[in-house]
Parts: sequence; C-alpha cells; structure tokens
Amino acid sequence: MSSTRDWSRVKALFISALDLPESERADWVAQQCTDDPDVGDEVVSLLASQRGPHHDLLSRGGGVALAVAASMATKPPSSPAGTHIGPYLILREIGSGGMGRVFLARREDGQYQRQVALKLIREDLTNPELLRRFLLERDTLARLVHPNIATLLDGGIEGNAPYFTMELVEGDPIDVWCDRHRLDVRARVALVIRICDAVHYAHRNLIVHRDIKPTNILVGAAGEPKLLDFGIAKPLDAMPAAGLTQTHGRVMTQEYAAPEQILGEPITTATDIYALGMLLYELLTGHRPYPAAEAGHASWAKAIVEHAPEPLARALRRTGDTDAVIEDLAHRRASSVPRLRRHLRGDLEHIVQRALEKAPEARYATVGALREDLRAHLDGRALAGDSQRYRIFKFLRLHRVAVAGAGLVLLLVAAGIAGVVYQARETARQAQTTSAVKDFLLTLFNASSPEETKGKPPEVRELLDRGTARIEHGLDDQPALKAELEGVLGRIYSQLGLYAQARVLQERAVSALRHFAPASPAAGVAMRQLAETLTEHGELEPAETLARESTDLLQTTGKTDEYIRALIALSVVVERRGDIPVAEQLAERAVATARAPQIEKAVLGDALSAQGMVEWDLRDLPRLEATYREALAIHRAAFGDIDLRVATDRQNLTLALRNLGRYDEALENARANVQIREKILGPTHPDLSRALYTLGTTLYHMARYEEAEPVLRRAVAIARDRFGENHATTATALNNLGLVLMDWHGLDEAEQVFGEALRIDVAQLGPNHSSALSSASNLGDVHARQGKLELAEQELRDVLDRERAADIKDEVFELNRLGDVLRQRGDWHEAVALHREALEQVKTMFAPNTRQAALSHYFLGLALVAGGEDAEAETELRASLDALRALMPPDGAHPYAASTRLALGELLLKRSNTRSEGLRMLSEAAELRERFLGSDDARTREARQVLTRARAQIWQDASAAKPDATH
Amino acid sequence: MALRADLGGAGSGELTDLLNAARLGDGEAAQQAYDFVYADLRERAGQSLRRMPSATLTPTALVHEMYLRLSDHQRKPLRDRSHFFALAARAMRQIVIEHARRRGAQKRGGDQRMIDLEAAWDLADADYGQVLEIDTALRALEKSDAELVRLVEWYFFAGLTFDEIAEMTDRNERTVRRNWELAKAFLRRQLDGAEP
Repeated sequence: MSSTRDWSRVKALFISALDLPESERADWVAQQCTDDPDVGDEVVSLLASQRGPHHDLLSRGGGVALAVAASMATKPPSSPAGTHIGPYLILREIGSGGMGRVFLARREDGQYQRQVALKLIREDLTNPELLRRFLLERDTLARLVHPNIATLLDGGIEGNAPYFTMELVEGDPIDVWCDRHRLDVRARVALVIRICDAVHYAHRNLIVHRDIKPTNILVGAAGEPKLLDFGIAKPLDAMPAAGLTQTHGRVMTQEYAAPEQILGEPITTATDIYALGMLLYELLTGHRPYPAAEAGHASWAKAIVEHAPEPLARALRRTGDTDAVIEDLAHRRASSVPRLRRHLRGDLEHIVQRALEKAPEARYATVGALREDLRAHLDGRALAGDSQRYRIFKFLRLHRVAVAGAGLVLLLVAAGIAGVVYQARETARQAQTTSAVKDFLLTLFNASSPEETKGKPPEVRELLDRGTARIEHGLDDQPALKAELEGVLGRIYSQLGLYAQARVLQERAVSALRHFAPASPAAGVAMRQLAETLTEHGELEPAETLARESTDLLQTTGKTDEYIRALIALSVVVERRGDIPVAEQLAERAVATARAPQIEKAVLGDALSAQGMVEWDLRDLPRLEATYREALAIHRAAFGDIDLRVATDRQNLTLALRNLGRYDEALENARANVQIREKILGPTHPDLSRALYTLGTTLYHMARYEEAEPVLRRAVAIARDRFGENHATTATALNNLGLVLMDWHGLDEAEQVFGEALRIDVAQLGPNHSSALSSASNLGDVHARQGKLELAEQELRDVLDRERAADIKDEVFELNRLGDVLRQRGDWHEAVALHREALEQVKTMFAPNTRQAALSHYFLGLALVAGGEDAEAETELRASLDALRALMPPDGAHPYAASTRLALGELLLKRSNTRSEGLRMLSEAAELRERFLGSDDARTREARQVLTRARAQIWQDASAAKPDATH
Repeated sequence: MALRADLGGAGSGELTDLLNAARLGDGEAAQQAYDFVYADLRERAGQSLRRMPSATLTPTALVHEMYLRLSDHQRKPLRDRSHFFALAARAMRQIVIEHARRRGAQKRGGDQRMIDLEAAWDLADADYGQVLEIDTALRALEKSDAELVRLVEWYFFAGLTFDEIAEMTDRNERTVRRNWELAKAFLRRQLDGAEP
C-alpha cells in the first residue's frame, strides 16, 4: 500500500461502500476506480476482511486495556508442567484467565486414576481472610453433587495460592454446541431447563453461582450440559454485605453481569435468574439483549443497568447484520427467519423479559418458578401466572406507594432472601423469625395500598415498630441481613418523619456495617443516611462528623453517585452550622463531579439543588434562579411532577423569585411545594412545616396577611407537634408567624411569639446565631411599636453589637429599627446616621429595588423630616416609593407604601404647589391601609384622620383666600 | 524537569502548561505531558482496579476519574479534555503492549477449544499475541492515518464509546463507527496476513 493520498481515497471509498447493500459493494467500487484499479483492489480487500462474524480480539468491543490493567498484578507465569501442586502432577496448561490458570492434572498417590482439571487461583488475589474463606467454601462446594454440575473433587493451598480440582469436563460451550447441532428452539429450551435444575439444586444448598454464561456450561458428546466453576460462588449464609463481594478483585465478565452486580448491590439467587435469562436470550437469538452495547454506542455497564432488553423477535435482525448472517442464525436453529420470529413472540418473550428485570425482586422468585414456566411453554400450557411477589412489584411500580417506595421493595427482597434461608434451615426458631418477617412485610404491604397509606402514619408505624422489634431479636446470626433490614427500616421511618426511631435503626446499621464491612460502599451509604437524619434532628455536630466519614469512604470506592450524595449531605450540614464558604466549596465539587457523563442526571439535579441552597448570593439572583430551574427541569424529567426533589426545587425557587420581586411566580411555586409534600407525606409530616412557612412568608411579603396567618399557624402547629417545643424549626415557624401578627392585627401576640422563638433559638443555637439575632431584632421592633421605646432601644443596640462582633454584614433591619426608635425618642441626628449606614449596606449587598432599599429610604426620609430637612426627606421618600413600585408592579401596592405615602403626603402639603399631589398621596395611603389592614385597624383610622384633617385645612385655607366681605 | 506521578509534587501545576505547549507544537512538552499521564495511569489503574469492582469501573470512568483527579491538583483548569483523553488512551495502549511483551506471548493459534473459564474479558495468551500484532500494524498505519490510530486507541484500548469519541473529536457518531469498521478491517487483514 503506497501513498497517503491513495489511503485517503481508499478510506473514503470504503466508508461510502458501507452504505450500500453488501452484494453491490464490489461492483460499485470497481466502477469508481476505473482510473486506478489498485485502489479498487485495496478497498475490496478491506471490505472482504470486514465481512462475516469473527471471534478475534477486535470483535470484543472496546476497552481491552481495562482487562489488561486489571491483571497487571499478575506475576509472570511460570510454566509448571511436570511439577506438582499438592498431590497432583501437572500435565499441561489448558486455560487461563483473570482469576487464575487451569491445568490438566493427575493425582499421583494412587487415588483417582483419572485426569482432573486443576484450577490455581492467582496468588495476588488472596489474603489470609480469603484463604480461610476459600477453605470453607471448598467444603460447601463439595456438597454439590448433581448430574449437571461439574463436581468439585478436592482443594488445598499451595504456598500462598489456593487451588482446587474438579471433574474434567470435555465438550463445547453450550452456545457452540447448540449451533453445531442445529438445535431448534424447543431443544434449546429443554437444555436450559436442565441447567435450571442444576442451579435450583445449588440454591437449595444456599449457593449462588454468580457467573452463569455459555462458556461456563459445557455440553459433552452425549448432550449432557455441565455447569462449571462454582468457584466464586459463596454460600448464602456466609454472605457478607455488598462491599466484600468485590474485594475478591475478580475481573467479572461484564456483559453477563446482572444490574446489581454492576451496582455493587447484594447478590442473591435472583442474580442467577438474570443470568439464566441472558443465557436463554443468547441461545434463542444469537445476540445479547442490549443492542446499543453490542454496537459499541454505550458501555455494557450502562446498558445493563439502564437499557430495557430488546424484544427477542426484534433481536434477530440487528443493525449491521447482513442478510446472510440472519439467515444463518435461523438455520442454526433449524428454522426459517419468519418462523423463528413467530416462535420468539408470546410466552418465551414474557419469560425472558421477566428473568431480565432490572430489579431483582421483580424477577422469578425462584429458579424453580422459571423452570416451571419454561416447561409450561414446552407443554403448550399457559404460564403459571404472576406470582404474588411479581404482582406486588408491578403494583408498586404503577402506583407510587409513597410511604416506602424503594425501601419497601428492598424489604421484599429481604423477604426473598429470608425465604430461601428458611428453605434450608431446620431450626424452628429461625423458621419462625424469617417467616414472621416475611409475613410482616406482606402485611405491611397490604396495609399500604395508595388509598389507605397517605397520611396514615399510625397504622403503618405500628407495623414498623413490631417489625423492628422482631428484627432486633431474631437475626443475630445473620448480621448482614440484619444490618440491611435495619438500614431500610430506618429509611422508612425517616421518610415518615419519625426521626428518633430512624436514628436508632440507622445507628445500629452503621455500627454493624462498621464492624464487618468497614470499607464497603454500603457502610458509607448507611453513614450518609444517618447523617441526614441527624441533620434533620438538629444534631449538627455528629452529623457533620458522620458525613465527612462517609465522603472519605465513598470517595475511594468508585461509587461516584453515592459519593456525590454524601458530598451533598455534608454541604447541607456544614451550611446549617453556618460555615458558608466551606459548604459552597463542597456543593460546587458535588456539581462538578455530577456533570460527568456517566453519572445519572437525577444526581446532578440533586447537586444543583444543594448548590443553590448553599450559594445564596443575593447579588446574583439570576444565576441562582437558573441553577434552581435547571435542577427542577432535571428532576421533573426524571421523576415527574409529584416528587420530593421537585418539591425542594420549587421551594428554593420560591425564595429566589421572591427576592427578584416576582411574587406571583414565587407564590405559584410555594403552593406547588406544599401540595406535593402534602400529597406524598401526608398532612402532618414535619417537612410540611417548612413548606408551609415558606408559603406563609411569601404571602406575607405580598401583604396578603389574612391568607398568610392560618398557613403560618399551621406551620407552627406541625413543628410543635413533630419537632417539639425546643427545635430550631419550631422557632423559625414562630418567628415567621410573628411577622404577620406584627404587621397585621396581633401586636401583643407577636410579642409573645417572638419571645418564644428567641428563647428556643438561644437555647438551641446560641445567642449569636443569626436566627437568634433575627428573633431578638423582631422582638425589639414589636416593643417599639408598642411604645416601649427604651426597652426597644436596648434590645436593638444589643443585637447590633452582637452582629458587629460576629462580623455579620447584614445589619440593615437593625439599623433601621434602631434609627426609628431614636427618631421617636428625639435623636433624629443619630437616626439619620444609622439610616444612611443602612442604605450603604443595602447598596453593597443587595440587588437594587428590594424591600430593604425601600424601607431604608423610607426611614431615612422620616428622620430627615424630623430634622427639618424637607427637601432631602422628599427625595428619600420618593425613592422609597420608586423602589416599591419596581418591586411590586404596577403600582407598588403594599402597606409599606401606605406609610410612605402618608409621610410624603404630609410633606407635600406644606408647599402650595404640591398640595394637590400631597392630598392625593394621603388619599391613596388611606385606601391602601383600608385594603390591606381593614377599616377597623388603628392605622387605617389614623390615615383617614390625617386625610380628613388635611382636607379640612385645605378647605379652610381656600375659604380664607376669598375676600372677606363682612367684618 | 523531574516529572513525578505523585500529584502533590513539583510535577503538578505543570500539566496544563505542558498540554498547552504541546498543542502549540512543542514536541518535548508533548513527550513530558505524555510521560506524566502514563506514569499516573500505571500507578493508579492497578490500584483502583484492585480496590474497586471492575464491573462498575467502566473505562470511561477510569479516564474521567483520572481527569478529575488531575484537574483537582492543577492550579489552572485542564481545559483541553480531548487532548488529555488522547494522551490517556495512548498511555493505555502502551501499558497493554508492555504487559503483553512481558508475558512472552505466543503467536495466535492453538486449540481454542480449551476449557475457557472466563471468556469475553479475559485475555488468554493467544490474545496477547494478537495485541502485539495489532500494535505493530498500528505503528505502520500511523504514517498514513494518525487519526485512525487515535480512534483505535480510544475505542479498542481505552474503551470509550463511539458517542463519547464523537463528542470529543467533534464528529458525528456514525462517522466514528464507520471509521472503526475500516480500522478493524485493516487490522484484521494484517493479522490474517501474519499467519505463518
């Protein structure tokens, strides 16, 4: 092959030729290359190499390096032919792979004259713990005696490397055998049924194979299939938590892995069922179920976890398969393409799809059930129909059972495991416990139909409590199962808002996992969940420690999704503790990590959500809004409109929109937030408290006091009931209620309410925490309005001092309030200084035209009026009105505007050329107050009095201007 | 300039500069950047894989993780992601080749019908032989079509998917797939031709 120019041409021709049907390509190329037949020959030659099925390294898809890197630890193999391993003479090597090497061997000491297969495990994969377990396994595996299972004969340890010997099986891998003998669909199904027998037998002996695939099933000359290599299987009763199954370091065959294997979740008998489904699929169609992965568009891991299996019939014709290949496929199944396709619809499709369900509990409950359905198909009978478990799962999928969701489903899995354990256990006590757990779980489900569940914590709770007690006393010898159930129940309690119970269970789960699987992802996740519960509970310090531990652990495990979630949990608790910069960093890291393409989008949504909450920068509200909107869109796309994550996004959006002055939009989101939470969590869930007071304060900002009050009262009631009298959330709810009361109709009650909020804040968070200062400031304001000026001054000065000491930059409210008190006490000079300072802060910290700006201008105006600086006062008061108008279009209708108009009106009345405007202002003020506060409110009456007086005065002056006729 | 795989050391903070310089044509910088990436990968890949379950570690995840990790330690952000990935893929190829050589691989052939306990992802000795031949063929191809060789590194060695490669090279996915067909055909023909 000559020049680069030629090569470009060859390349272009080759690629274009691929667009044509195979039979036409050679001719077309010849036509294109009449001027240079050498190029043509080259292209044709390449096309020839491209055609047809191959079984070389190049046809295995991408990522060879990964497999190699994994086995990088292997020491260079020595060739032990002629040497001994244990009592066995090594004859020759017959295979090798990621786990070790296989030799043909013969026992030398007179026993077992026949030849055996000896498998030597890689030294570097072992450690003392594994060696011990290997010896245990050997005993277990030797128990397996079945015509379709290659018998384990013997095993031992040579130096540091374990080995075992098994029956030498000669034959073809099952897929090759089926093709070679042109077995039709029925015969293939029959063969799989025999495999099911073997697997079922193993399961009854508590052994899961975990690596069923065609090359592990050899079929000998007589047609008997034998299942090989139970070498990595572990007895169920010694099964550790998820993490440990991976320290084996084995390079798993990725294409045949079940979703739970990819995700590092517990391996159960259902994993084998999935593999059997894969086996069936391949024997029936000659393909694997995930076309995208087969074609190299997606990684296998992603396809297995996320993609739905392609229907059998459609798999016959994969893109890229030539007609010849498809014909060949059918031929090898002793059928024709249309007949084969027909055969693969219907029952077989149903069976395979069910075996390949992503969720283990959705698959057949036992291999026996799968076998029964296959047999029914062969016999022409109807399938067994959905078992109760499958029905339960489908039902859960259809109706969103909010109480437990995934947690409940996991419980059913546990029930599944418990069921299998029960099968083999003799002891009555065990049987009682596990079947009781199973019964309990099913009862729990029955009580949790959607109509009954929502808002009915008591009944469910009772069941949960009973279940918890049972687990506590029943599963000591199955620590893995126990920890798992505890974790799951903990989540359910947490979702129900029963934090104390959740915490107990989660603590237990964490300590159990710490004990026997300390480096596992499961332990990290359990820690994170406990941290979240503690955060909710207000126990921020231990929550932070745990969250950090969780992130450190998960960072090393490669489960990036969980790592991100742990980061989020950590950022939340750090933010609550008040360390905003660190929280921001964490949140940013979470978002950056979540933007990697292989991370599920929903996780990115969570990270964005958290970032928005933490990076609350009032100067960049547009960006904040954008972040929240992005999170909301992601979550809605992934989960629909009724979902807690969507609710949280809407809550955050409410706050951002409020500060942008877009109150109507904010209100819409606030209402949606409450609705969603009520729907999912029921009417008394603690999270509802927060949602309600967000709604309430939004209404408050819009001066819709009458609507706001009941909402906030409800928020307080729920908080008191679910969090108790001394919780930070109760304090916040009280504080927000106080604001409404203060501005509307309940000054005295406001005093009480703020006082209580303050008390709680000080006790829970300390007197210098921003919440405590907020409550104290509000209390001071109330006292000012009550006329207790000296007290108010004291309180407000105290707050300011604390703020200054804590270097809190936002003193705007306190400065204005104190300034106003001072004005009322006669010190207008200092008042002006304070208000100016407030304005300065407003300018640097907030977006323009916010409430703070409006208020600051207003108060400064008042102070200037008191000092006789009318012109400046007028400027300020007008500025306040402008700000309010911009904030609440179209005309800034708000009770604050009324106050401003009052002040401005009175000012304008003093000048003859602005009298009519002044009068108009007063009239508007009275109107506004009437509208917002009602006719009976003292302030409304005040406004009306001022208006009446002003009119009278003007009338009087007008009359005086007329010439006095009489004397 | 002593480059170390230890990211905390003097080598960090320089990778961006090296990549930038390399992009502008500085051959020595390119070599050093490559050495840096290679050393890190060698050190890390084995560790990571031994600690993690291989099934959850996709090749892309490995490279991404590496990218994130290196990004963290840079003072300036690694902006040229595709350049970085190209280096990583080439480093992976190199590691594979070295490993194959060390195993003293035999030529392809022999009885494939052995008791092959773990199929698709495990490389038997014969496979290593193929790997070496593929490497030789790639070196021949480098002169006429370096871009195609990159594609083989990215897909075959590093395991990125066609979509990811398309995104990184700013081509559409169909083109990438077609090019792979060509590469496969070419390599296969070389392998077939090498049969004694």
